[in-house]
Amino acid sequence: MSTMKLKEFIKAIRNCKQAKDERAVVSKESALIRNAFKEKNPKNRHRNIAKLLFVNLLGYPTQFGQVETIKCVASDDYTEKRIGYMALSQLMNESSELLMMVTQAIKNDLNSSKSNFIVALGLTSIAEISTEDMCRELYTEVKKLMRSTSSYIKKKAILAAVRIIKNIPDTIDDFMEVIDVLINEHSHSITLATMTLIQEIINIEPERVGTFRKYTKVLIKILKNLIHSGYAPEYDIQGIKDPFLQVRIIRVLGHLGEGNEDASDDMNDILTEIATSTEGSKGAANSILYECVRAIMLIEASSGLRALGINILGRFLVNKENNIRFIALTNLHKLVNIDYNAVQRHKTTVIGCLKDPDLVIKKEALDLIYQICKNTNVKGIVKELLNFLLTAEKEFKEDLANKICMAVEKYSPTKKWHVDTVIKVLTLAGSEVMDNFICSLITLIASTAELQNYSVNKTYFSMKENLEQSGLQQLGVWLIGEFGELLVSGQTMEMDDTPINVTEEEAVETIEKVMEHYKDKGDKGDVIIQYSLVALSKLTIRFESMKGKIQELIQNQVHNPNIEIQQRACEFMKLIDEDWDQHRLAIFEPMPFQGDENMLVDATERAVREEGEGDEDDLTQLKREAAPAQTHVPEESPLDDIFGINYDQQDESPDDNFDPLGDIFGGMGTDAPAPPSDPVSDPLGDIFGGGSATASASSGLGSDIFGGSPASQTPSDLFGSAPSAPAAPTYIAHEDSNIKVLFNFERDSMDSSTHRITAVYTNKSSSVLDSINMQISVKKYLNLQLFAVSSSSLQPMPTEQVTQEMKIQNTHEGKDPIVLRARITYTHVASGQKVVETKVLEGLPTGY
Amino acid sequence: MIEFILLVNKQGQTRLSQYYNSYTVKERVLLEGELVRKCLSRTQKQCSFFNHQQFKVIYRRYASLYFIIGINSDEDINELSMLEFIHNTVETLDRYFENVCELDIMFNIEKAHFIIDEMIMNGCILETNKESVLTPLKAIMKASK
Repeated sequence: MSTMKLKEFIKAIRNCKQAKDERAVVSKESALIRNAFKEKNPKNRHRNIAKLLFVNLLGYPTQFGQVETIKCVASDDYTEKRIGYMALSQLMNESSELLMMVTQAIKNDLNSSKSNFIVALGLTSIAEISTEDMCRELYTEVKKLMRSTSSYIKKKAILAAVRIIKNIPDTIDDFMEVIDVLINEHSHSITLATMTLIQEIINIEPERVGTFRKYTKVLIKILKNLIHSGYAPEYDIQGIKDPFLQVRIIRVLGHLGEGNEDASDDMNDILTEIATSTEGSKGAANSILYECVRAIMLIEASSGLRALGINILGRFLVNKENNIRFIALTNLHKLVNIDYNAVQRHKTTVIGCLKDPDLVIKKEALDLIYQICKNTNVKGIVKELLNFLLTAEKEFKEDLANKICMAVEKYSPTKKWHVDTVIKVLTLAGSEVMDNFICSLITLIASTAELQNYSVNKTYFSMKENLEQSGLQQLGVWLIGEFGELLVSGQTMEMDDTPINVTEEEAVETIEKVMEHYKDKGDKGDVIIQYSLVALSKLTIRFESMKGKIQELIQNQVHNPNIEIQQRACEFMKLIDEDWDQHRLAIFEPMPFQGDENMLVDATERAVREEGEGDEDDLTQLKREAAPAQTHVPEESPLDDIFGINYDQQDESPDDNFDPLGDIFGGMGTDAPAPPSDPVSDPLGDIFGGGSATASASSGLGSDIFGGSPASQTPSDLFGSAPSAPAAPTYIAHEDSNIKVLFNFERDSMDSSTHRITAVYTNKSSSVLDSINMQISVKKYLNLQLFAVSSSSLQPMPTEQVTQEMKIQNTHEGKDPIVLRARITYTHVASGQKVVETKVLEGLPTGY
Repeated sequence: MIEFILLVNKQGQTRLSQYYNSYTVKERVLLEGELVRKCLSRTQKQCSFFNHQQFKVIYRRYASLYFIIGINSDEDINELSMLEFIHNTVETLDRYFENVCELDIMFNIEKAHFIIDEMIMNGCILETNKESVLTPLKAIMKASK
């Protein structure tokens, strides 16, 4: 069977309806061509190689034709030679070992005296496929041909030289003198090729610019002549004289003027002329103007010329054609570092580009807008960007949301604005925002006490309405976990001064909803579930009343298919267990943040959490308000200490393999950054502030942690070293016919300014006393921690006692005495009489 | 430097391709497919440039044919000039084939290559004068008759 004609073959391919038909036709024909090559019959060789070109185009292998291609190249017949060379560029590449075989054939052709066309074929193959070895072999021929009398040969020889200098940079020297001659040739194509060669030399050896600078005046003259030449129909495009050549020359001039005043001065006039007199709204004119702007930005342009260039970009920016606007945007981008103000002037127009339906334009504009951002204008710009975020399509939303976050992080003038803006972005495009922006916002809030209440409330209400925005949920869940008590405090006012009332139950329900929503939603959803688990666990100490519900929610995750969630859930379940009652408080204590330096301008101030929460009235509030001013988290992170003590306690823990803290913090891998934990030499001493410098700064934080829960033992009991305190003085705080309240004083073993007071209630009546409670308010210099009464009711027996612990730190110890205002309430069950006693307690014992 | 020039129809079939650096057949097929998809997804109103992998892509559509030029991203090129050059190429083909269409290029693939070879050499613009581009081809055709 003989092979088809080229036309028949192409028709056969065109008739194929399916890819598999095409494959069949191609493989059949390829097999036939291979056989024809084997028979060494040169009759249809030319036709078969042409078919291979087509096969190659379709994306099928053609290696079997390479040897035949080389035979064609060496053929005496021009038609065969031509198709051979064509196949050489198309079917073979530099790495092909067979190429060495054609070197001699090419050399012969370069020296051919038969026809210029044959020489040209040789030059083309050098330009397109030559290897380093081939270049060495052939470059003397090429150099000679660069001086050919035929411009057809000459232009191809110049471009072949471009390939040679790339392969063998040493040869550049050899070509320099030829360029001296070529530069004075008056031919469009020779000048064009010469410009390409010069540009390539500059690319390879930038220091050669100095040598080429001598051509500045010649090039200016060529350019001038070109612009003022008469009508040349073959080179005119849309009324512009050879725009391709103009662009090329201006490009080289730009290089020559870069960093050189003299050369720049020389070209000032011609560039001004081109920038002002190139007319036409079509592509050709704009391509020249564009090149001109680039040269102006590169050289040491005069201020007038620079203004001209910037004006051109301004005009481009309002052009109705997208291509031109794209160019304007990319170049303004380059200009930002050179002339910020000039770019900044176009701010409004650039922002307007975000309305463009073309994504390419929008992205370019967004990049530029980000570049324009500064501390001073970021608010205005971001406000506009947020409007666009509202309507942005999916593909653009991600870019836009993250760029806003970037701008906010970098330039935000205030922390409040930072918080507001990122929450807004999260509300609009929370699922597109990258994790790192959420984490840094968490760090910011956690390290800025005055924003915590605001942030948790704001986020809480936004997250409830935007369940889809995963980023917002992530933030919200973390905030509820960390600052839940601020959310339910009832202290936050709405705009119209009505208090916001969120109950503990509602807060936990919100987390429940989030968990429900993000169940089985892939990796992103799993991250949110993990955040939720951590938050819920933290809430066990903040919302005591919700412990049961929380336990239930965590229990639900124990069988989660995600192993990470499953493990966390199991661990947290264990932590809720009463075995851990004493330690839970320490574990879930608010996290002290060290954050980024630039975010922690203000020292972190945080209220020490009170245990006596739940009975909110004006008295305790007084105390609560007073607290933050008095206490502050030490600079040294107590977290390290917490780590330390728990590692130590492992031996005592019910399950030896259970390393709760490691896991908790491991589980929060995606959570906010924990401060680096340095090795702690004496963790026990540190946590209880034993003589270390952190003791006073931490206001007895260590003891807070363990002295916290009312039922717990005192820290000294815990570790068996009874304090060697003298007999504790007592003080009768209140006595009436029904009740006696006696204060037992005890100085804190570590901190002499801290007094531990145990109030002992005894029933003097014959009736049960119920609803026993005492609230205490203190002056600002006193720091009070009041715990709940051990029981709210008292049987009518003198042996029966109810105790209530409190801790008072006197920051004016030795100067001002401790003065308390107490409100004691109880109900005399027999008579139903409700007693409220308010009194000032003065003259409390000191100096014990 | 131009990395490649492609002529692809709306069905995604490549009708002419010249690569100025080595690519395997597989790489080419993949690249061409992705480029056509991107071009097709863009409307006439959108701009003629986009980035694809390491390439700046400049394209123009003529009826059902896309002319696509790829340039390395790190190369400082004049996109507008490239766009003009594509048009110049099309006009040259048009002058030779008289109202060039997809089939002309398919059935005269040698000649089409010849024309492109006279205009671009190793990725550099060689000639933009249509007459100078076509004269050698006409001379050869005359001689071979």
